[in-house]
This record gives sequence, structure tokens and C-alpha cells, in this order.
Amino acid sequence: MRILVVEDEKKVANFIKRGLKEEGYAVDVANDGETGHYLATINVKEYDLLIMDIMIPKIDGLTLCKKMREEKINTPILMLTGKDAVKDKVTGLDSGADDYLTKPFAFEELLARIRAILRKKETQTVTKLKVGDLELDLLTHKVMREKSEIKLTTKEYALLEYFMRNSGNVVTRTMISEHVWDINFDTYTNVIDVYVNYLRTKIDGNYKKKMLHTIRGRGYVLKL
Amino acid sequence: MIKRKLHSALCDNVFLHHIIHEFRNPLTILKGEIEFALKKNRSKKTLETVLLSNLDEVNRLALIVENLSLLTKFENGEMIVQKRPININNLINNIIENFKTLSLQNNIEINFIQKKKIFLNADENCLRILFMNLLGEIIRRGPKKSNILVNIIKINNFALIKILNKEIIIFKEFLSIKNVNLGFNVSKYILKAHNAKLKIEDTNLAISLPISNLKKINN
Repeated sequence: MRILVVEDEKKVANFIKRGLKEEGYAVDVANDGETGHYLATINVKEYDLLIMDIMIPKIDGLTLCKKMREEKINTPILMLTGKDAVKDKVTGLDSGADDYLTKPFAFEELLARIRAILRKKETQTVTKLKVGDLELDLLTHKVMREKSEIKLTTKEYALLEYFMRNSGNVVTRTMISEHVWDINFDTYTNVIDVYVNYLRTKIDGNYKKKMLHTIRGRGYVLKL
Repeated sequence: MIKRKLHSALCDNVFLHHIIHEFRNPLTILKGEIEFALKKNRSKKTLETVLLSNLDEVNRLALIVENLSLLTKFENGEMIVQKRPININNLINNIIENFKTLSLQNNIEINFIQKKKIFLNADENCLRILFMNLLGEIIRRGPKKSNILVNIIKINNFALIKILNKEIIIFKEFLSIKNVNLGFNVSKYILKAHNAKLKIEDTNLAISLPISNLKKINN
């Protein structure tokens, strides 16, 4: 799951990013409304959720929210703001936001609201990813193959989810570093290869039919 | 003018809401970072980073309180500006030093260019708050990985302090009539009390402070 945080207060954006990354989300940050709009609209499928402050430079959060809904971009939006009056909340929700959280907030509450929004989104679309006999439940984070549960770490789960969402297509190391690690690190380091190997051992190790393949010089592909 | 505007703003609660909003961000950071630190076992280095960041936010809250206190005094006509000779170079150096942690966290490099020491007849606490407000705003709101250049020169009977940063444009709202930011409004009072002038251009913010009755010290 990839989340875009639109927040001008860098330290707020920073701890949200760190906290969400620990929960297995990939996170991008935009420090103003204009950049937020650009990132959220350049590829509408890129983000599963937008977390947006109201008082942000260039385009404020409410205007940005309305603008995106007018442009038929339906990515869920969670408003995060210092304004707590009832009329502020009503204005926020009426502008097209899906939820509203007032600063200062408990991080656990932010996580719970994110889960609730994503659950709602998934029930409207898809709750399970399936490639052959490999199944990933987006709600419970359970991974099954041939009816046996496979225990994955947070990073392995995020990696598998990304592979399954792109099954049949070659996924490059750069794509993985951007979407799963959320950093553009030197792709010559072998961090990705190490994690792919961990994942491969878990999902293919005990099975005759191998699903995760290396495409030499290009990346990986998950297929039947 | 400022007084009328603030009174009017206070009447419809806009200003009060803005002050509440100014308190919320440092509180959000403190709460969020402490929760993050306590969530699981962290390394000593991570905890140290969190504590340094928290200290910075506590200082920010202290500055908000100082601004509020000064604003109340200015508004009620109780402010006594205590002018005495001060070394403006030392003052700016100390302020830059205070922002060291925050600027490091944002990958912002602050350079101070000073050719010779300049003494002013001014209220040291007021000028400290003025420059804390201005520099703090650039560091917090400006882009990461940037440079801020502070330059001080003496022109005739004025000390001209220039703050150069490519995002200085954010200060355009400083002159906005609608602006109800606490720090900005206190800064306006301080500038007025010192007969100082402030000018904003694309990449620099220039503050000229008169050097009165100090010719002997400066020459």
C-alpha cells in the first residue's frame, strides 16, 4: 500500500512517514499543495490513500481536495489538521475528504483510521490478491499457499503484495526500491536481492511449482 | 493600524484560532515522536535524535509564549522597549547556534557573513525574538537541503541585515494585511519600535536597523 502525505510541517510529515513505514506502508511526502496535486494525479493508481493537511502552501488542502474530486480522482483522502471546530470538519468532509483527524493525534488512531479507510476502499474493490494457489488477504495480511499459511515479515509482505499486484510483469529493482522501500537507494546494493531470496524461500521453497523468477539484468517476475 | 487589525481579528476569533493552531503543530510533533520512540526498543542514537527534536519543539513552544507575552504588552501599551548598546553580530551568531539542531535536521546550511562588528542601540530581547521568528520560519517552511545566507553590513547610520534564501518568497505574506501569524505580528511591532524597515525581494529579506548615538562605538 502506498500513501502520499501532503504536509508542509516537515517534522510532522517525517514522523508520520517513519511510523507508517514501520507498519509496512510505502510513503511519499509533498510539502505543498501543488506538488501534492502533481504526484496524486500524474498516475492516479499510484496511491491507495492521501493524508493531507489543510493549511499548506500554494494550494490549500480544502481546495486541493475539491479539485481532485472535480477531476474524478477518487483516491481516499484523510484530512489532518489543527482546525477542530465542527464547521471545519463539515467543510473538510464536504470538500470530498473521507475522514478528518485533528492535531495533535495519537498515532495508533491515525493507523486505525487508515486501516478503516483502506478496508472501505477494498470492500468496494478487491480484498484478496490471488496468483495461482498463492493467496494474499489484504485485510488480515494472511498469506496462504495450497491452504498452508506462510508467515512473512512486514517487509516481505509488502514485497509480495507489490509482486502480486504486478503479477506477470517484470518488476525492476528500481520499481521495488521506490514502491516497497520507499527510497531511491543505489540499486547496486543487494538489499532487494536478499529480501527477494527470503521471500522466495518462503513462498517457493517447499513447493514444486516455482512462482518467483529472476529475469537476468532486468528484475523479477511473479507468475504461474 | 496593527492594533486595530488585531483587535478586529480577536473579536471574530480568527486570531485566537490561529494561535491555537500554532500550538498544535509542536504538540503534534512532540506527541508523535514520543509515541514513535516508545513503540519499540530504539537505538541510543534514535532516542537521542528524538530528544534533540523534542527540545527544539519545546523551544518553539517557549517562543510562542514569548511572542504572546510581547504582543499582549504591545497591544496594551505596557511594553517598555529597553534600548541599550548591543553587538548585533553576537546576537545573530547566538540565534544561528540555537537553530543548529533544527537546521541540521532539515539539511539546511546557515552561513553568516560579517565584515566588522556593529553595535546598535536596541532592545536585545526584542531583536532576539524578531530574528528567531524570521529565521525559524525560513528553516521550518523552506525546502530541505538548502542554504541560508545571513549578511550584515553598515550603510551610513543603518545596519543592513540581509537573509538570503531562494524560498524567501514565503515572506510575502509578512506584509499581507490578512496575515494573523503571531510571530509576524510581534515582529511588526518590534520593527516599528526600533524605527526599522523591512523589505522583501525574490531571494532576500532585508532589515535595516538605525544605529543611533553610537557613532563612536561603531567607528
